[in-house]
Amino acid sequence: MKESRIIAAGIMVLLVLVIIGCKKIETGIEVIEKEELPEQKAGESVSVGYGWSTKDNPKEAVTEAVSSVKESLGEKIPEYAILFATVGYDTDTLLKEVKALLPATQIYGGTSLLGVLTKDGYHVGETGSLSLLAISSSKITFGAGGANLDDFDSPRDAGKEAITSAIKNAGREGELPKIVLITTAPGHEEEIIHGIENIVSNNTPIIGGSSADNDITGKWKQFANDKVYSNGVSLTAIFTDLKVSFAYDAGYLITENQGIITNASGRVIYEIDNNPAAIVYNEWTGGIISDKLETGGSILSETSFYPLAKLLQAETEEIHYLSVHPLSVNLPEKSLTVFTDIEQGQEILLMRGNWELLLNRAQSTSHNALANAKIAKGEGYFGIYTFCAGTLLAIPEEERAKMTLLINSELGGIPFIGTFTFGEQGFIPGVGNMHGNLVNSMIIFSE
Amino acid sequence: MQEKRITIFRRVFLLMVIVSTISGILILFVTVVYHLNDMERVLIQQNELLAGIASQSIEAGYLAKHIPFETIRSITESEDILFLWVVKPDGEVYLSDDPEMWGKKIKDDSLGIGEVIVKDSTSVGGEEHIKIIIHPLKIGESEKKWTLYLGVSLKSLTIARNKMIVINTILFVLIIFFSSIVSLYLARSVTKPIIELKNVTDELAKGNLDIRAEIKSRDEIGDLASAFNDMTSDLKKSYMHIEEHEQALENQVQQRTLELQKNVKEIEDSKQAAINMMEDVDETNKQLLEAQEKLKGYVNELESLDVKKGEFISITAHELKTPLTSIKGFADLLQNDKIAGNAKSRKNYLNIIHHDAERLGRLITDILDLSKIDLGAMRFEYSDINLRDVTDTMRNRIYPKADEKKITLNYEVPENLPTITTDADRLIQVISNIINNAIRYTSDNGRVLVSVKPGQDDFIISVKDTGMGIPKDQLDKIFNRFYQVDSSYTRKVGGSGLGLAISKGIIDAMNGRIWVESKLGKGSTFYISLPMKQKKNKDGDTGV
Repeated sequence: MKESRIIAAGIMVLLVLVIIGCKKIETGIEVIEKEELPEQKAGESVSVGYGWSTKDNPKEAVTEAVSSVKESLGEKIPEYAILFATVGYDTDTLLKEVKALLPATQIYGGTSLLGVLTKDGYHVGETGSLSLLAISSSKITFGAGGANLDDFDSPRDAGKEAITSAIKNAGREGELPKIVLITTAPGHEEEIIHGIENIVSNNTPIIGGSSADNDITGKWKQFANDKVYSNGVSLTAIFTDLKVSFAYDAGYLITENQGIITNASGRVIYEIDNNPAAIVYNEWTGGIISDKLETGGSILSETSFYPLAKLLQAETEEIHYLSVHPLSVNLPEKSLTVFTDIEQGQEILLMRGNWELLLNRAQSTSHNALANAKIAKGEGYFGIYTFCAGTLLAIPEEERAKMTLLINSELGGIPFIGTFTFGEQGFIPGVGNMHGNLVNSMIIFSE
Repeated sequence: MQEKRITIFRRVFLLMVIVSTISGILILFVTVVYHLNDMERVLIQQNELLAGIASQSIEAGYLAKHIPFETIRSITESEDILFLWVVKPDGEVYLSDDPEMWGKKIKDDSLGIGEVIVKDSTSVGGEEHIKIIIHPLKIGESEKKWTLYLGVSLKSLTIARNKMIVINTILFVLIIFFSSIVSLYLARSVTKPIIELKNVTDELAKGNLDIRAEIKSRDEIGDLASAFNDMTSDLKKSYMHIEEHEQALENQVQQRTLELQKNVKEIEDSKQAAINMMEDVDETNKQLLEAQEKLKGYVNELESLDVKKGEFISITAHELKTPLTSIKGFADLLQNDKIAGNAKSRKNYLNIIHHDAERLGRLITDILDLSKIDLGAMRFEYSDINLRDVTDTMRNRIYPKADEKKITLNYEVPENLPTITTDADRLIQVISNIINNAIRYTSDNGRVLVSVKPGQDDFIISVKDTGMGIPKDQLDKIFNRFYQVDSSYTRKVGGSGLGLAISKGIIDAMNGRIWVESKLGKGSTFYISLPMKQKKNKDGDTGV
């Protein structure tokens, strides 16, 4: 039949078209699993163990982290451990469990925003996360001490007391530590630093950060041995002949917008160049807080990429920029509250950045820390990293894990521990110990 | 089987639907393939540009120790981009949008290639067909280049293809639907006048010559209808002519039919008369044939008898001539005085002449007997006798001959034999002939057994020997005249060759039966069966 022939011919044509339409797919790329970065081999004099956990139960979390530490240290009992944890855990329980498992170990640390860092990654748990870095070394003497600010007349006195007890716990009374690690409650960092400097002089680097919570509601804690402070300071006085190298960087780009603080008090900037500070800032930034000029309130998230910066001139005439994070607009005077103390007459300028710059700091700051003491990649014993919580929030969540990758690629895979803070303290050579915002710092211990 | 009928309407409709369906599918397929290829080309071009931008950013960032995460993110945030890897010459992933890939190693032939290429591949899970744009990076001083891999998903193409297929399929279905309606209308418009014409034709076929097609269309169908109407008018005229002719023919046929019936009757009468005559002829022929057959039988019989007679005379003359020749020869010798003077020779020759004369005499007697038998002139004298007397007579008469050859001759004769009515001489002649034959054809020191077994109405006499036996194929020939089983042996044992023929003739004439059973080399047994009582005629004789 003719109809059948036409149908058959049509089907044949369709089949040919389908065959022509099909393409052979070939693959040629083979992905090989990642080779583990080499464990940093602790020298005979410095043994380092680290661990972390995201378990919901604090006891189980501590057990898991301590197990990892012990696995690395073997028979050695650490003299000292740094504990960073998020506020999702009951921190009293955490410290109690750590002390129960490491009774002979001095504890230093505090709370971190959202998560913690180790060489293994950026750890964020459902309830909380913690990281632990423990050291056993004959070449380093650690002395952990703390003080509750509420127990003293001034934060300065609390600082004095904390450093005094730390030096005492190190058994090095009368000696100056090579570096002081600091974890403090936000708000009085400069005063506390001055108190510490009263004891150890302003030539001793004081590096660390202000402990954080997840929602700026004051849940932050500071750990000092068996003490957990809500409004305190925890310090570690470190005595060693090893190289202790560090970097304290903001990483932002400067702008041409610059002025003089003409009216300020404490952490409030009333006027810049005799104009309301919030209006000036809004102009400098192209209007990113225009809405808040009318309503007032927090501008924390809007200003992460546009911090102000104090101009600091070192003894070497070198200019340093210490970033200052605007926190809120105050009405009716349209003043700005910031996270650091501001002095009248201070030169100030606008900086700018983006999350890419902030993320890249993980690598550049690590690089600078190594470079400052000419430490080769992979030759450090361990590192301590402090990263501004505000800048963490500015980085897209999916990108945050890359911080660890950048640090590992720069340090060469040595153990490190990191925390996210509400203010960062650091030492600027020729300027001294400073408290800044939106900064990150890296400390490296090496032979 | 009748082929399924396909109407023009259906054919036109189906053809139009099929053509529009195939066209629709082709258009659908070509459209999808063309657009997909175009979209794929555009997609690859776009992403080649992105790969170029990413490469420049990464090269610059590498020098400044600043990784362009934002650029990478903005590129990889696109749904079309699956991954972005920056790979060192040794295959280590230096940088990736996915943190899990950092530090992993890849193996690929295109690693370090100096130009932009696009490869077909599959996603990590292997479930998706993807494209990988491979772009060289100007990083490092090594001759081997760093390489950027940009994984491009073709999902958007798949989605676009599916959308296109859905939309085109809907359009296709709509087109098919409307084309079907149009096809239906067209098919109907084409076939409607044809159907009308067909209906008119049907009416015409039923005999309605006044019917006309009412089709006014100005096309081929209209022409056909007009021609049909003309044809119908002509047909009607022709039909009327035919009717007239038909009537005339019918009248002629009726007249011819009457004449034919008359002729038929005459023929039938003649036929009946011929049949009767034929039946008489048949009967006469039959009788003639029967007579002819009988005559043939007689002729054959006569011819057979004539042949037999000829043969008989020939053989008889030959058999008679042999002893006569011998007698004449030796008589001629005796006429010689010298031979006749020799007493020993004379006596010897006279014995031979005597022997041949006796032989000649027996032969003539046998021939006479056979002639009597043939002519039915042999006479039988029946009397009541005891069968034992017959056997005793036989024993005494035959014994010397048996003894001469050291042959054991035994008789098995029951003590109380009944009296029988028969011709004792002829019976003894037959039995003697058979026993003599048995002795003659049995080697020296052999055995011959004569048995008598009386029955109710008849009796059987058997003569069994341990002689040479008779070949099976010759058993039915030994009763023929002048027939002897083996000529050389026969000459040795003698005999005229007429004894058994005479015996059979006598036994047959006495309403009996004679037969033989034999095994070659083992011996033969002759049986004679005769009725106990022969019917006597008035004077006590009977004849054949």
